[in-house]
Amino acid sequence: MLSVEAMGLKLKNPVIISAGPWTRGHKGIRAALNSGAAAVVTETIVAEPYPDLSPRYAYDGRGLQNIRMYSALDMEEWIDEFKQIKKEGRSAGDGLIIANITAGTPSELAYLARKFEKAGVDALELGLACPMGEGMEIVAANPNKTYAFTKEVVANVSIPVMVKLTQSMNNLPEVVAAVEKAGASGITAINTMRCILGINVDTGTPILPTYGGYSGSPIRPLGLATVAGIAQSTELPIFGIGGVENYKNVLEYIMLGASAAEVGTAILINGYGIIPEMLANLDRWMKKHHYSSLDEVRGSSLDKLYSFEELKVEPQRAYLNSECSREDCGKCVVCCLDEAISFVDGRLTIDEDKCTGCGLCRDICPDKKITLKWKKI
Amino acid sequence: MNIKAVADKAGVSVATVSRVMNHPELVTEETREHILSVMKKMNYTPNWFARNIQSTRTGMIGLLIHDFLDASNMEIAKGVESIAHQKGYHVMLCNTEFNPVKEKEYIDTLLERKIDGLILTSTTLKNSDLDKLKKQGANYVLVGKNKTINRQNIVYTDYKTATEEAITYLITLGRTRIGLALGEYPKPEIEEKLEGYKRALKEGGILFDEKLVYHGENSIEGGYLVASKMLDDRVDMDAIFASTDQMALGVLDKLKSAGVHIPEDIALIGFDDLRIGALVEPKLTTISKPMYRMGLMAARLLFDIIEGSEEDEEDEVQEIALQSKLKIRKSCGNKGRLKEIW
Repeated sequence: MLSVEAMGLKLKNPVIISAGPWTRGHKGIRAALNSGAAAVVTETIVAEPYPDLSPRYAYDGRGLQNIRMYSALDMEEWIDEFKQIKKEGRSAGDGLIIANITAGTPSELAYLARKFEKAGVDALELGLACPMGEGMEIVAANPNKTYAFTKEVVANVSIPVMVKLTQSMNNLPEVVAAVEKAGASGITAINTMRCILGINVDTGTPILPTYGGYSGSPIRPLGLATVAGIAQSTELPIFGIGGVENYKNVLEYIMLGASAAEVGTAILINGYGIIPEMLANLDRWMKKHHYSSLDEVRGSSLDKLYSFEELKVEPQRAYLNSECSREDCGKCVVCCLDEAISFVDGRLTIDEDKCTGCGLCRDICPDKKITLKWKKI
Repeated sequence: MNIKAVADKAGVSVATVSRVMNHPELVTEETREHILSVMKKMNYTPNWFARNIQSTRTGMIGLLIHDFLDASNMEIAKGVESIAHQKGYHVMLCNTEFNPVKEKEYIDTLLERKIDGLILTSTTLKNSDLDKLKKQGANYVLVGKNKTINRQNIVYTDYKTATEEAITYLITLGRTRIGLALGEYPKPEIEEKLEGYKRALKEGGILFDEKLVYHGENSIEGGYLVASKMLDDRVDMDAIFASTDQMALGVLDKLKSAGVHIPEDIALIGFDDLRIGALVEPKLTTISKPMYRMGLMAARLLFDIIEGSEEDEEDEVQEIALQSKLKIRKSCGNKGRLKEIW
């Protein structure tokens, strides 16, 4: 019921472990496969590795900044790791293995692609969008460069090729068209985003000494927007990535057009235990809603997204759905620009004539006591 | 027809015949001539495949570079050795000094000694010479392109585009009278750098002025002398591009001692990203060539050939371009910190 077909590959469910240091080497890959995910993407493999810096992560409880420059293992070590995987054997129920690779030129990338096809991976993911160091996201936002890199790889392998894109494109349809034209089989979006997590204001020192990639829950809305945009530009299968933490997030990506979702930071922080839970919850949700296949769910929210011109001004106003029981909260009062909320004789009241239905108080109220409804005439 | 039949006919042992083919220097001329004429009479052609299997036991590859003291060359060597060592091979390092005669000598000697493969950097050989090598059954990979090279296994950097980027950057910083301090070798690289310079000028709407192009020895002294000539000729310049960091350092030295302010009066960009460039004052803007990676990839290509199976098409060649990076530091007039433009 959870199985998905994409790029000519059979995925047993829509959950994929994304590229990152947790999928380094045969140990990392085996742990990922054991979680039950449908596929695992290796840490980004390069021709000349960078060593692991220390520290290389900074986490503020919400989002993560990493300053990892691809895998610290070199090509030969990776090929040995794959030999080890072959030796240990893959069982029938095992997920697929996708190698994430990147390089500075199309010919260098094609060389890596051929090597890892030979090593026995099931597909390739082109990491053209990493924001670290030289800022490869320039490539992923440039249709011509994306085309050149992708085409060279596609011409040199027979396994499916996915292209990982960045959020930082202001010409999404052009980039997507380039990916399609180059013959790629799928698109992954989004990569981490160029960030500075913060500064220690007492010392003036940035938390990490260089720009890094931002990931985790805070970037999910950005990922969702990009996936929806891509889904509206192409029929190619999409792999949504960015802040996936639970089954709802997986569904959000699918409903906006993705075939599957990739999970990364959530695994780093919480471990592989979240995967079986995710899959069980997805299963339960499908049954509850009487879906027999994810094909019925894919893209189902896209036609509920409108362009600005299509939106009509609706006369919605905020209403209390039950008495406010807090005496010293007043958060809704503070956030109302229309000054429509106030305490009248000690009771929280919303003036429906002053209210213009912006919707903010509905989300600010810690008890969820406010709803938006059409103005009573 | 096999080696035993030749031995019988010649009245010698199989080992002697084998020695004639594999280690001719160990056999007397008389014996050698005798056996060779027997082979000719019998129309004996050695089994190249069998010979190759025999010769892979040398476990050695040759790396020809043109200057042991050149830091870039040694980075290539480091990359090559890294891969070779993993494969259980040793590297024989040879210094050709851009001398075609020396290069040919080394190649011949190494092949005679049954080296398993060769990496030729900035080769002086022409494509036809290389094809002859191929016919002899030699395994080789080239580092660095030249105009005659076609359909060879090669790893290279695009010096034209790299230079164009650097010159374009100077133009965006407002420099319009950009002098060149060019070395003499390797010629193909110098030609490409000059072409990149001209292309950037054209794009920037600046006329090419021959008077701004100086040639000198590729060394610190060479750069020093070129800068002296430039000052002496009183050529009006607001920037200098040196084809190597070595020359750039010499240029820097001379200009500073002549009281010229860098980058305020003259901006300076070099090539090669020598580590010392980040330590001089002002820090040297440069183009870094991925030399270590060139070594890694060249060795990888070579072992692909050496280990190649019958499935691989004979004619299939691999050409890999590696990306250089413009490293922006104070010497070019950029006020900001070290940045890398990809």
